[in-house]
Amino acid sequence: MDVSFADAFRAEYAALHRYLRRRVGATLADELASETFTIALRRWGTFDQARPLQPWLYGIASNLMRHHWRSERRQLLAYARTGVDPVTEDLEDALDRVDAGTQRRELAAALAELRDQDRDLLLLRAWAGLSDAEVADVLSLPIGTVKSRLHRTRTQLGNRLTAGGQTPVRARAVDERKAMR
Amino acid sequence: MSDHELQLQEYRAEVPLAGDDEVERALRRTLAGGRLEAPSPRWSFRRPRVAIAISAAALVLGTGAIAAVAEGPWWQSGAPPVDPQAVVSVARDNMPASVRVADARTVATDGDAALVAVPLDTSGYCLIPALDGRAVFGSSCIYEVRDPASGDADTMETASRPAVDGDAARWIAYGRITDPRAASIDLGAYTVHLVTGGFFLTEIPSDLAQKLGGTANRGSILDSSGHVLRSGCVNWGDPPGTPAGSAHADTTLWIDQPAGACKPQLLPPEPTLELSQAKQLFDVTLTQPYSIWQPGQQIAFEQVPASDGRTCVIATGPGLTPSGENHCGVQAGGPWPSGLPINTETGTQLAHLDGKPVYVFDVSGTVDPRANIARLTLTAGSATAQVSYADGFFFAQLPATTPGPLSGAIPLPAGPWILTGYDSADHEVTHIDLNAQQQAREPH
Repeated sequence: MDVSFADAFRAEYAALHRYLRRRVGATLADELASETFTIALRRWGTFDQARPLQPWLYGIASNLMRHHWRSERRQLLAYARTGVDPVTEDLEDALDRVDAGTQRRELAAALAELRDQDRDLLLLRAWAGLSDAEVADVLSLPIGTVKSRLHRTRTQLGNRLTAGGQTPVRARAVDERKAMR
Repeated sequence: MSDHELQLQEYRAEVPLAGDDEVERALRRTLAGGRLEAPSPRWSFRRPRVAIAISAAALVLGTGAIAAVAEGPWWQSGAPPVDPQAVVSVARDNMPASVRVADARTVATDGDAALVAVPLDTSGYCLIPALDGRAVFGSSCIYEVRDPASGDADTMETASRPAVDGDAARWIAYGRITDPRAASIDLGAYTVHLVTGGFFLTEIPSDLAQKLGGTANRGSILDSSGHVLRSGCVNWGDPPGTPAGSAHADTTLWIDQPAGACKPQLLPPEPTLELSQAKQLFDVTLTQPYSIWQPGQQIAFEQVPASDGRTCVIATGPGLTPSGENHCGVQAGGPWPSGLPINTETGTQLAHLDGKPVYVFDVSGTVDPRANIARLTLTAGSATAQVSYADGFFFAQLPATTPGPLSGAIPLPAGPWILTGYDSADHEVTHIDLNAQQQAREPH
């Protein structure tokens, strides 16, 4: 297999850019995605094409993203405080987000409270759609460590949201159906 | 999947995927070296941002010899830029906010070409290559140098400028090798020596240009004893004067490819515009400077099909004859990945009115035909700005502002400026707070 850089770029850019944009907003995502692929281009000749492409690219992006953890945290906290999410404010379906506003703000606060490394791991799994093994590859961690940290982080997130008074979505839906009878 | 995980999946799920057009632009930018803002030829519709707009202002750089300093960070040596304010302006618009402009230095020179470097945070750096005392090639930044010997934080680029107004075509290679052991680069055709900090700048000899253009060959980074530290592929890119190098062109000079795999990585060809099928959208009498034009001049916006199937909008006016090689500028007619009825873009330009520097702003964009918007207004309190609008494209100019202290993005004039779309029955369809939108897009 000899995939050209341009083909790899076309296949992966949009998803990687969206992942970064969900994390730090459009402006920074443009820069980080650009920097990721610039580094990838420089190292393209030495990239073993037998390896899967995604973990390699997300690994580069994750290394760059580390320098913006503080900015990410700040944006999450800003949303939790003000209800205005700097990452999505310029997008449509604002009404939907107003409906889900309280839950989202609690989730943002909970994400901000996670350790940066744990948030990174969690979002690579949840937003980039990588498998545990791929996340392990991205972060150069043993897969067992990834699994245990994911479990711990999910538990922490769940506890934080429940402690914040948030009723799980399914439970609330059941309650609402009961109330309608 | 638990409820909380489901919530997490849905959080910010409305963030859209980049469209094909955006991906192609990003690919082009990456192959051009990943610069934050690629310069455009001056006749393109989408004007260069401030960094390029000020290129007419002299970025006169010290051309004295670089002082040799055995120890200490690179910014402790080298001549400061003669016009630091010009560097400040480039940094303000095209670099991360954490650049330390006070430590900007002219780190390398070759004839009248110069390379200015600006430290970024604790170990990162930005580069501004300049020709004829002007920053005609924009800038690029590396956020952090973590493992200098790996080459991950190196910058190695070529940049070319076509012959313009009697000035000869130019082609330079520049950058930085962060490995402190590195002393020179064997480019195959010739060797360049690194100066303090690992920077280099070389004008590619005109007699080699045609031979090297579009080719790639093996190269090496050498230490002071001539031992090879790293080998790779020297990718020369398009020289000025060729179709792909007919406008400003920039290429990644170095690719870490093993022996036998060294292949040229060239910019995809720009689509050409079918000017014979151009359709005029509207005329505008300018109230502020815009691109190469001055207040009071009349310009026109035209919709033109491009060879790649897109429909583009370009600006034409006095002293400018559009050619098929114009940049596409704004793509008209969607697609509409954001789902918004109006897609806006604000442009900022540093200009001079009555001898005083001012920032001038324009707002342009496209309107989704499904939104049935018949007219647009742009207001701030009792102030209004004329919005020209036809066939889904609009253009307006905002009042000028006086440059003030630096703090991230150049703010739009005080408003809020509200762009409102109305349907044919004059009912409001949507409105956008442009000042708030700028804040959201460029939070600082």
